[in-house]
Parts: sequence; C-alpha cells; structure tokens
Amino acid sequence: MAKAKGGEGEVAQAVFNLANIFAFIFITLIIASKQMFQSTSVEVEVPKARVIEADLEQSLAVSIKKDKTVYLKDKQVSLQELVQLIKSAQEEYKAKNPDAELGEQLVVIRADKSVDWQTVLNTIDAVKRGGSKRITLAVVKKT
Amino acid sequence: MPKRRLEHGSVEAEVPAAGLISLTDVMGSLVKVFVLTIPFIVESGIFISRSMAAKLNRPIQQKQVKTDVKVSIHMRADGIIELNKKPVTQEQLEDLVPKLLARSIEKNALLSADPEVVYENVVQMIDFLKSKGAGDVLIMKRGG
Repeated sequence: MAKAKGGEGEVAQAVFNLANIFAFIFITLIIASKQMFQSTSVEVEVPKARVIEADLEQSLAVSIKKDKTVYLKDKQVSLQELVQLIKSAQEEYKAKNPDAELGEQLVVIRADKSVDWQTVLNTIDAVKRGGSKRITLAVVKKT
Repeated sequence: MPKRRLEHGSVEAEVPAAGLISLTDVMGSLVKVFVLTIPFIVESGIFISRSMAAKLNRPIQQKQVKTDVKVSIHMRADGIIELNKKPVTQEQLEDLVPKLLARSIEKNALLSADPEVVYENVVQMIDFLKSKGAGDVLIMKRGG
C-alpha cells in the first residue's frame, strides 16, 4: 500500500513538473514572441489590416514612433542619415546575397498608427532615395 | 506499470494527480491557443507601389501616370473621401470601387491623402482597396 502511494506520488510529481514546463514555455513564448518575429526592438503600435501580403523575415525595419522620431533597426536616425544608411545596407545585402531573387532587401515601414501621413511619406521618400524599391507597410492581422 | 499502481492506490492519492492532469491539459490548451494567435500578434506587411513612391516629391497628374487607372482616391484632412475627384460616402465607395476596378485591366488604384490625415486611416484605405481587388495601390502626392 505504501509502495503504491509512493508510486502515485512519483506520477503526481512528474505531472506537476510537466505542468511547470508547460507554464514556463507559455510564459517564455508570450515574452519572447515579439522579439522572435521582429528585427527591431523599437516599440510602435502598427495599424491593423485584413489583407496581408508580405512576410517580414529578413527585412530592414524602419520605425516611426508616435513622436515622429525615425529609427533604422534600433538606431535613431535623421532622414538624411536614413538615405545613406539604406544605401549602404542594400549594398551590403547585395554583396552578401549576389544570387538574391529580387536583388535587394525588403524594407518595412513600421509607423505608429497615430502619426500623420506626411511623416510616413517623407520616410518612404527617404527610403526610395536610398535606392530601395521593395517597400512594405507593417500591419498586424485584423481579428 | 502506472495502471497497476492505480489499481492499488487509495482515493486520496488519486485526487491531486487528477487535478494536476487537468492543469497539464489547461497549460497545453494555452500553448495551443497562443500558437494559433501568433498570426494576430506578429507583424506582416502590405506592399505599396514600387514605381510611384520614388516620385513622391513631385506632384503628378493622374493622366500622366496611367491611363488604365479607374480608381483615384483622395483622403481629405476633414475626413471626406474623394473618388475620381468627387466626394463620396463610405457606402458609395464600397459600391463603386469594385465596379470601377472591374473595368480596369491592371486593376491599379491611385491613393493620395492630405498631409494631416492619420496614417492608420490611410492603411485602412489601402487595405480596403486591396480587399476589393486592387492589384497595386499607387501612393502619390496629389497633383494640382
């Protein structure tokens, strides 16, 4: 009888450990999800959309925060700097990926949904002047 | 082996195990729900025109751009939406845009907005146009 109870205790302990592992995985997923799928840590609230066209893996992130500051990846830049940095980033990408299908890295504009259109236009313009033709606007899927 | 143990086990010993198994199920469900909701958390993208955005600094007349374009939308800062230079309501827009796009071969749409328009509203319009069948949304500054 005592042996049986001991065996059940082991099972309970194993199940308890399993539950802990699940809880750990779940919490880790929640915390890491954004960092796992984003190429920048700049926090912006992007708009929602039903139509999704682009996978943003390996894209060059240009973020526009609510206060209209512009970031290339995690670095705050002016629009003049952005043009130069995009140029050099694309050259670097082409050198590293000479056989890339479309020849250049996708640039994703991650603008906060509350910024004015002019700010976004100016940034898109700077990206284009940097020689990028493949531009996409970051959105999250509308539920 | 676990089955044999259960046969000899007391009721008291089974209760916590059953509770923990439920807990495991709950955690498993949470992980599944999380995996399923990832598409709604992770950012994706919608393409804007490759060809036109480069010319944003130069106002372009619609006729100069594409003669095939049947849908030209301008979003005014006061919230009014103009379709082919005529103010329209949301209902009219939903009715007219698919019909106009059906007449176009390339199914492209032109979109411009006043500088003060909130970015979210512009994205919603791009989303609307794409959902109605627009192949490419050409972003441009409004010509005079």
